Amino acid sequence: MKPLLEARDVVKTFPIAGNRLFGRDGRRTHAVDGVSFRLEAGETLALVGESGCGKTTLARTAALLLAPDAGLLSFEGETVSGLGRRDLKPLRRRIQLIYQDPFGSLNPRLTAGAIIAEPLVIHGLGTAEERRKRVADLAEAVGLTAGDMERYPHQFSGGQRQRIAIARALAPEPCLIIADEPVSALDVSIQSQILNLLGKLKRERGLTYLFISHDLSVVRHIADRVAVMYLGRIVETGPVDDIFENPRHPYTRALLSAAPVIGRGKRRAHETLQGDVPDDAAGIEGCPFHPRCWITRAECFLTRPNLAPIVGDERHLSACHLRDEGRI
Amino acid sequence: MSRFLFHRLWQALIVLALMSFIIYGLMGLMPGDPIDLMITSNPEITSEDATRLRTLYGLDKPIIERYGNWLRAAVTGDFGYSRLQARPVLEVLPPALWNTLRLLGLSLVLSIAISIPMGVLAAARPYSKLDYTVNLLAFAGISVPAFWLGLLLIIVFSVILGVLPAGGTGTVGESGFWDQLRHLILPAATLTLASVGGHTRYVRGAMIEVLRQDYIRTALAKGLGRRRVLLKHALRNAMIPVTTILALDIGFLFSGALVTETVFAYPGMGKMIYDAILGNDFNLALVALLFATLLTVIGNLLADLAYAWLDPRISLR
Amino acid sequence: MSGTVTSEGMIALAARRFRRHRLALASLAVLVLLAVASAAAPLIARMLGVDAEAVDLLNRFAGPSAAHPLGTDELGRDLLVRLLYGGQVSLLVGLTAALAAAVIGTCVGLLAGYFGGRFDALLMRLTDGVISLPLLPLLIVLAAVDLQKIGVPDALAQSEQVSLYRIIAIVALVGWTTVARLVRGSALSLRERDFVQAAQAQGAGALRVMGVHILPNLVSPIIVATTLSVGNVILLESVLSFLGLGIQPPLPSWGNLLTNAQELIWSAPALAFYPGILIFVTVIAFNFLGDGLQDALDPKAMEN
Repeated sequence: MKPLLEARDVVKTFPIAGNRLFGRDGRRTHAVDGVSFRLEAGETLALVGESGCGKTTLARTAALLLAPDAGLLSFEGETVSGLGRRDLKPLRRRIQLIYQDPFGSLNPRLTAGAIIAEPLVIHGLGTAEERRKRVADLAEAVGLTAGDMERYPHQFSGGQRQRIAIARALAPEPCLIIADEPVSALDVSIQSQILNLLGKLKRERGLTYLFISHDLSVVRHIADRVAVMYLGRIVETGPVDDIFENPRHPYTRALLSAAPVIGRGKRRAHETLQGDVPDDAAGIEGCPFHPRCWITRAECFLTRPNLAPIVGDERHLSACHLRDEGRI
Repeated sequence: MSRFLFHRLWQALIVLALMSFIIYGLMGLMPGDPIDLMITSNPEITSEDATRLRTLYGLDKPIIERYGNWLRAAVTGDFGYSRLQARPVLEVLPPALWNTLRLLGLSLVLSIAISIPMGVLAAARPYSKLDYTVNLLAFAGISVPAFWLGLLLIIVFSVILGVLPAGGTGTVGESGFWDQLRHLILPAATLTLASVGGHTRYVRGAMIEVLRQDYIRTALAKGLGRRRVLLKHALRNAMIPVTTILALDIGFLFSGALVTETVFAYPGMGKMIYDAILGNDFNLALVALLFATLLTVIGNLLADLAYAWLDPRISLR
Repeated sequence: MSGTVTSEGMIALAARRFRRHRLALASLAVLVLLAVASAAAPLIARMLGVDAEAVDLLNRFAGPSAAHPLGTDELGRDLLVRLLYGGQVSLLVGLTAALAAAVIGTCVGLLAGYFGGRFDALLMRLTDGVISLPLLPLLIVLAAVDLQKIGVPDALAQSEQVSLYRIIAIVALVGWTTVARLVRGSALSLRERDFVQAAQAQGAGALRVMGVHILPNLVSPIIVATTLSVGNVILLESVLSFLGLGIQPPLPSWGNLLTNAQELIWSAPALAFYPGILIFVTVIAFNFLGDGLQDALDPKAMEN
């Protein structure tokens, strides 16, 4: 069964500021450094990691906003990574983005109705009357009223603005929605409302989600599968329960132990990481995580571990030499 | 840093070259070329004579060629003759420049002497009556037409009171220092009043910015006296934009001076440019304008440099 | 980030903030008064029973009287009416030239800020070049150009209004740089905002993004910059007219009314007072107005 979205060894680099004058020297930072994953239709894949791990860049590349410098990206079986602007346009309908900042992602000069209708206008879908009807339907679907459509973003609360953003994403009837930290800027009480809304919409409309977050409790709530990123690479991926109960990479373990867990009843040994996240993995030999790791072996300093399945479970992959030695 | 400098110098050169070409062309669009003027003053010149003269002076050649000739002469230092004054251009410029520099020097010194204390005091007591008044006065300063101010001063001090001369650099027959100073007072006062408003606003704005910084609060919290903090720390950092005004004002040199000199019939660079353009003194106008552009460009460059050098936070890309 | 739903549109919010500025309000009132009075010049002339052009050499330099509220000038013409007609010209030139400069500046700044890269660098190089030219000398050169030599049709070149068009054109030609820089800066930062990226992610073309998303969010700074520039434009026009290069007689402007005044400074100093004070009041009013608008339209205040 062909995955809805597939990435193979995708690389995305950016020039390091200040080096632009000397083109030859052009050191670049590898925001995404050889990432491969599959996203099946109908599932929610959560991409987690700390700031700077490359998840936003990966999300934007998957959303066809950035062209990968190397590697392959395919959508619904067709390769999209090399396509030009014109060919990409019809695909943009099918892949929609929801952004983190509920105010920044809405044009303060447009009414909510105009914002939601914009994808329809850009893709030339429907007459004005049809669009108006559709906007009203979408408003209702996300929990807003038709009257709200005449108001401006500054007249809404954060949660409501995010609903507008969701309605906008649904307007062109996409199959894939990429949500970049959609609830991180909201109050905790509102977060669950929005998450529930997203879940409900997914079931009703048969959507697929790529969900970016740094908040593991949110991820647990909503994801089917999880991919953990560190320094531009995926270090562990698998079904959500497996990742949470049976982490096979020290970084995952560290993230889990840092996340406050309410009412789970199990106590986890606390692992505190030493040091800061380095700028990129360029200078590090062996496993990129070894400078901060507490269970290193000799080979960790010498060879880079591949992202490979653990013994006994094909769906659970880890990029750690100690992946098969039990729960970390 | 030197990369930046080189880059900007190169830019400055290009602006100058471009400007010289543009002015050359624009001057050619002035009503009447030299031959036409000759014809009006000497009706016996026939059209054949005119054609011959044009060929002789090279006025029938395309503009690029004429410009090229001018440029070639210019780089060797030959800027031609001033038609109106019948002397080489390079001889005419320096005295006029000197007059303007005296005028500008005096007014700049006066303006800074007023604007810095005013701006600092106003910034130190925000929203006070003093601040409000200073602000109001500064607004008035930037809104008043300079030439009108000059006229008013002439009316009051020359026409009504009769204590100061209405124009020129010196009374005929006298050449003493005091006489020259008397002639400088009104024009300098005009120029000062016209620019002090803008300067004050600038200083006040810069001081407010600086006073808002955390390190000022730290210094005050440490117990250093308010006055000391104000003068030693804040002022020093506010000097950055002040230096910038100074450098940028070199550019306004000719605009401000031009008007004032015309009102007071003061024989400086500004008035010279004006007379040369309207009098069709091609060579003089061209060179004077180029000189004005050169100074403006240098002024902008110095301002950028001063700003970048004094404020380590600005990157010099 | 929860908040209550407010019912005020953005314009209402801005208007409320503006009303707090007494100076700005007063300035607005003064400007409206001046505009109305100038526009009504023919009416006022008729009310006074005066013909603006009527030369009355027996009545030169008359003081204020019932027939001539501000007296007469060197040709016996009523001063008040001449000032009002002059106001028509000066205000018209000021607003039109400022608007023209704003349009040019917005186009340049928007294109530079949106497209960035080489194009931006080129446009900014151009802008910097124009800024580094000495303003008044350049304007003088431009004003002295012989129109027939650049191909302007005779009918236009000889008309009375040509000096009007010319001065609007040259002031706009040199005055666009402030707005351009402002717009470019704002456009550059707006370009990075999520909602712009969202529109681009949808596949919106450059024109749509610039027109629907960037430009409407630039309106506030453009309005403020333009209002503040009107004052400068009026000053420039008056200087040029004063020097004899701007509005040409018989078309009156506050600037060229002062040209006469200078020649007569020893015989009728009062003539120099009125045009200048009107220029001063108008310019300072526009400056206060712009200042008030700047506070009222402050984007930080708009975003809750």
